[in-house]
Amino acid sequence: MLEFQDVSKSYASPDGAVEVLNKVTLTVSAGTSLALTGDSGSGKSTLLHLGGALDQADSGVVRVDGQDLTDLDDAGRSALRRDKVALVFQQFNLIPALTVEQNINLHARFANRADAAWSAELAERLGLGALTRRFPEQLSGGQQQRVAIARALALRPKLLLADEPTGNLDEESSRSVIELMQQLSAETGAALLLVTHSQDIASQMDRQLHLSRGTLHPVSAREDTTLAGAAE
Amino acid sequence: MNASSICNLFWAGLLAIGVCGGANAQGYAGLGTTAEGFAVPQPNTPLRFPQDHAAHPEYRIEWWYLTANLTGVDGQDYGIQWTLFRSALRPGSQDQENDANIWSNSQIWMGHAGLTTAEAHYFDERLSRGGLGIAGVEAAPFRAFIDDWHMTGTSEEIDQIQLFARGDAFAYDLSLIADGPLVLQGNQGYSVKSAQGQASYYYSQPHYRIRGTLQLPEGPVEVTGDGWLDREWSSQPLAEDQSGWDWFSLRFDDGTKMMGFQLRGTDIFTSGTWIAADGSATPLEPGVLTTTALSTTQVEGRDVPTRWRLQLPERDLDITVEAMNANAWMGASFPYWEGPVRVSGSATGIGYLEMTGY
Amino acid sequence: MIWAAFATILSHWRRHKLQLAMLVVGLALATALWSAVQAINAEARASYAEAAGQISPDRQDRLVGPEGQVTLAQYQTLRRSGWQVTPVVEMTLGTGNRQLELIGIDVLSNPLLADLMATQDDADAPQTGEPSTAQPPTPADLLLAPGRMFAHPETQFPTAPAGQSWPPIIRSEQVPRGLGLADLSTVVAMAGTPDRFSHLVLLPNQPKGVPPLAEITPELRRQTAASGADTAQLTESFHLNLTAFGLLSFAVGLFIVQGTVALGIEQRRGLFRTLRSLGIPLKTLITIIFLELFAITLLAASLGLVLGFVLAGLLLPGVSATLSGLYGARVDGSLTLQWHWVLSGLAMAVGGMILAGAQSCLSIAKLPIMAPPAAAARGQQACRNHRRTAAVGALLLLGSGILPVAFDGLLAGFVFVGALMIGAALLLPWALSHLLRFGTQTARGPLAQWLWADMRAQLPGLSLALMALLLALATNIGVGTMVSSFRLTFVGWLDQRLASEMYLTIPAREDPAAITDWLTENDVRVLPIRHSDERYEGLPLEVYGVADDPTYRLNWPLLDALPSVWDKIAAGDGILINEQFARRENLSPGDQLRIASDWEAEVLGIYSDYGNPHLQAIAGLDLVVAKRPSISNRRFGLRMDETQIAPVRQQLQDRFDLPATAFINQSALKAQSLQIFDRTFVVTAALNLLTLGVAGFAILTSLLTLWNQRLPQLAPIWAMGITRRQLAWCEILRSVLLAALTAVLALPLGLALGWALLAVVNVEAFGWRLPMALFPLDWLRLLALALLAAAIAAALPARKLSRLHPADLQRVFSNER
Repeated sequence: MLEFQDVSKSYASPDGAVEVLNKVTLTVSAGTSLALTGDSGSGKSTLLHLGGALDQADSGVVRVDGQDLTDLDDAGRSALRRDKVALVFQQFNLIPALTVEQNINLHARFANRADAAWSAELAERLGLGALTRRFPEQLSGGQQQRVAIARALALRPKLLLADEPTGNLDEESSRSVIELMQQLSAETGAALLLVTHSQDIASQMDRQLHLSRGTLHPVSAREDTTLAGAAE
Repeated sequence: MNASSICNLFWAGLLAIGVCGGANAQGYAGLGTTAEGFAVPQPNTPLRFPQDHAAHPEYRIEWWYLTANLTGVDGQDYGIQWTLFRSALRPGSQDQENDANIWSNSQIWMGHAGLTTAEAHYFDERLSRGGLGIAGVEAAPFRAFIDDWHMTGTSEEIDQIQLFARGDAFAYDLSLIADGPLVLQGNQGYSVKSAQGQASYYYSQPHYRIRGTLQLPEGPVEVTGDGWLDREWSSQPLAEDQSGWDWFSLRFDDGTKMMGFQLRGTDIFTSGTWIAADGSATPLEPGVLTTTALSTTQVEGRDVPTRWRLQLPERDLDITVEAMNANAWMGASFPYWEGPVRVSGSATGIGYLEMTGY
Repeated sequence: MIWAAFATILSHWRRHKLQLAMLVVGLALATALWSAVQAINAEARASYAEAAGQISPDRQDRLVGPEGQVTLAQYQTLRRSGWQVTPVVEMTLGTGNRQLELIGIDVLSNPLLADLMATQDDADAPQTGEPSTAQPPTPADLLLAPGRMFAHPETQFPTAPAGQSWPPIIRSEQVPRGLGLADLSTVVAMAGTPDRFSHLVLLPNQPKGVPPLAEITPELRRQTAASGADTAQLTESFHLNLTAFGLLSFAVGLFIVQGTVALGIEQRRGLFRTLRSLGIPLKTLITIIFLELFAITLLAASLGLVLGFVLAGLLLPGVSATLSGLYGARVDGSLTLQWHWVLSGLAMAVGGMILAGAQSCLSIAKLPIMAPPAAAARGQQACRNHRRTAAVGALLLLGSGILPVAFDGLLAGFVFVGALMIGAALLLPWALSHLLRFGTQTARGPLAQWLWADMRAQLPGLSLALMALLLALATNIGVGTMVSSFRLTFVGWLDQRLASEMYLTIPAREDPAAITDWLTENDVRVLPIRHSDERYEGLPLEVYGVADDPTYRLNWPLLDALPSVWDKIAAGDGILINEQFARRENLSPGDQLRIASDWEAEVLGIYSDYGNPHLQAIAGLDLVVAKRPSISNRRFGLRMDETQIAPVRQQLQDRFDLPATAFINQSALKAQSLQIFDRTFVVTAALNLLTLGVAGFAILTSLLTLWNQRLPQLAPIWAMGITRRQLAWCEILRSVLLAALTAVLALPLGLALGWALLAVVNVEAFGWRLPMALFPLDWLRLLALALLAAAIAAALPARKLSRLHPADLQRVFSNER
């Protein structure tokens, strides 16, 4: 569902170009999940943004659902995001002026396939059933992140990308949110790519990869990436 | 005809300067309005001279109308026109003689002067009300004037006159001596203008010999030639339906002359006078003269007939009358056509043509 | 998708109603200010255009007589010698706004009536209750009693003279207001002088070879036609002042529109980013943003137009009073909706919106979707922007410095003013940033240090509002300086000019000699005021004759003169001319000048003559009388002891039965002159205050829109133990400080503007230069006003802050990572 082939990406900085990704290759199949760990600034988010068609690679090929993203212009990439890719962010990125219910439906409505029953089911299963009329600022952080996840899944995306989705949540909420996300994405057949710095969360995924100095490494038993609290 | 044309012109002039709006409702330029309060010409009223050379304020309209065909020492043909119109705004009986306000005088005077060459046509206009000493007709000696334009006799008579006018582009100063008698038009000066009986008093002096100077933009020209004076006064010269007229004064090479006119209304009314070389005049019965427009010229956006066929079977006359300069348009306050013509056909000669209502 | 996205974007305003209101009101105010000025201009111009389309009795050369009259005999002589002239009788009836200028013409020979009727529609019938005709008049109607009178539909008729009545009135838009036009027969019946005319009009086409006028009527003088330019020029200059204001208000308005729109977009950056991540294409997003802005702009602009219309309606009477008072130009006092100022108002709002929207959208398009730059990065960017705008501003200032040197003319003056103002405004953020950095470095206490640093951090969000404030303050100072300088000079000039204690006009029936003899016997110095109306190149020129008297030697305001100028004047060796004349003809003392066809003289000096729209010259009385023996001698300036004024007047009235109108007290004359002057600038003052108000509103808007960004910045300070009350006061202090700093920078800018208006624009527009006078008290008052506006603007956010629940501040931390 998501394929990276020899993808490289660098950014300009005051000290010259900094290579963030160096010929990265990976695959996430439909219905499976992959955790991506790495130090602050290791390029995790960059990789995620490339997969979500939010940014463009310098070289290599990124494919979503078989579609080569390098071929697409802004409209094409927007359409891809609208139809197939859902994103969950650390800052939730909810629309403050819309109710929980409206927020959940928003992405699906953009894609023209809002399904009220499915949205309601999602809200129920994510424990938001009683909160649908509320506005985001009236919810706790954990509840807001559940709304963001519900919004992502309401689309029935082919690809679900999550960037530190539990960064603002306590440990208890984190665990339940991640479980729900994994369970629901498996149910809908979505490929899940999750960026996290938490080994605990990463271990819940089907597979794990570690990003370091721009390249991917399989995760061994002894993991040295548990630098909890490191900010991105 | 000259008389009615003038009247119309005068009225039309006032129209054109915006003074009256809808006068066209009654005949051309309001000349068909009734003459209530004004004197009306009566048949069998003998004209008296020299008294009748002066103004007749009890009648609504009147004019002193002189046209001349001239030849310069340069060999060129010229035509000139000098006209003084009088119009009364209301019957004279209502004028308060001792009104301190001299400006409320009801007599309006208008002068027109024209000079036509083969290539050019000049004209100018003067207007004044009566009682100001700027325009009028004086008796002894005879003097018709407006501003510095004048037609001045040596005595009360008009057989010897001096004629002067000037505009911003031309001037003329001419001496005229008549070598024939006055001609009374119509029935001893009573000239019928329509089948309904509209009429005017009308006499002419068609026998002037002229000598003098024209001032043209190119310079002065000494000229000689022949002139024709029309005097006419009336109060209601046109029938309501009459819209305009075509008036001819022709001088044939054999010494005979003819005045002829047609009034264009529902029906065409033609009349005129045949003048023998000795000056004896014979009125033409209405309808015996036939006029046919042969071709027109576009002047100032109007189609004006500038070539005519005139037929007078009783005199074996069948002639073509053609304008010397088709553009002899008098674009004064009111517009009309007035210019010299040449005659060819069964007789040859020269003359003047006036056309209104186009 | 597009509608769902549109609804989502609009949903923002549901939660931020106040902000929306601010945006709309700000835009509406800017539009109102601009369109009000436009409306006034458009209205006045329409009035002139109407006047230009009307018949004008002054457009031909005329012949005038020695005593202001031409006789019937002279008219006859001219006509009979061939001259095409037509007599005109003018008289004035009634008083005040019921005053009617009556013009009698010979409808047969005067082309005016033809002009009038040429455009007259037969169908447009008159409408008022007075006697009128429904039918077009016949010649007899016009020429014979009672006659007809043509007048503008809005001309009011005074009561007819005793024993007379008005003829039927024919209403026509072609006739200027306040004028009744009729045939001579009608007017003469009212005037009672059938053989006397005010003047003769020389018709354009004269016959060839007529004798010269000097031979036939040597006593009449020919005056060339008014070119029609004098009034036009002067009203034009007044409107240039208004236009300058329009431009300034436009600039202020544009800043406000730009500011509010940019903030409205800036605030929703996060929202836009989220929408992008949810698959809304960039183009769709920008389209939606513009759609939204357009809808808001349209709403606001419509409100603004209504407001502007009301505003213009309030100001217009002042304008029309000014124009008619100063220049004699008649402006209709009522306002009609005219499409071009409606359009210009809309265009200004939409233009400002597009400008601001485009800029914001460009930044949205450039920003990567998912890389919210850290606050520091934004700060750096803002700094870079400061530097860039400052560079543009500096360039503009540089350019404006070169302009007056390199180019002449009014346009250059305006471009100079424009470049100066905009350049300075663009430099403002950079300058403030440096001032604030300096403040941070020198601050002692930690709170003070934070306050300075915080102000600097807030600068990007506030700079547009502050630019608007800068412009408003500078405009106030500049225009205020101009008006005050003007007034000061004018008052001083009046004191010089109106030196006589009393002015006396002797009625025509009295013998002036008897009165002046009596005055001299009673120790009153009598200064004859005699003048001749000449025409110089078609413009009216008054040539005054003055007696040799210390009054003139001591008081006359000479700008430049040859040595012993008054001796030379007394000897008849030359003339003095007013400044307008000198500037127009580029004359200096010593030059030769031909003031009339038969009168050439040396310019001995130049005097200031503020407020006089006409050319003027002064010569020795003997010389003027020698040149123009027939000028009337009925006006006198009377010099006497202050205490003598009332008794002398009383005795004059008793002894010679003089009417009260024969006297003018110096003090009354001065008061009247000042009143006219002050009326001129009523509009200016009103616009000044409004501009400042709008700028204050811009600050309020900016502060309110910055509100949400403020909490995360304030919360840590609060957490460190500063009370909310203290924070609230800091808010007000911050706003006041920024306003004060801006005001400090506005002062030199305002003075520069004042200089430009006095030395460049005024000279070009009015033809005289004024010394610049400074009024520091006015600046202090203005500073206080600006600080007050800033304090009021900050009061609302401060109040909100002081009442903020601690939980709201805490949440800043819980929400932060």
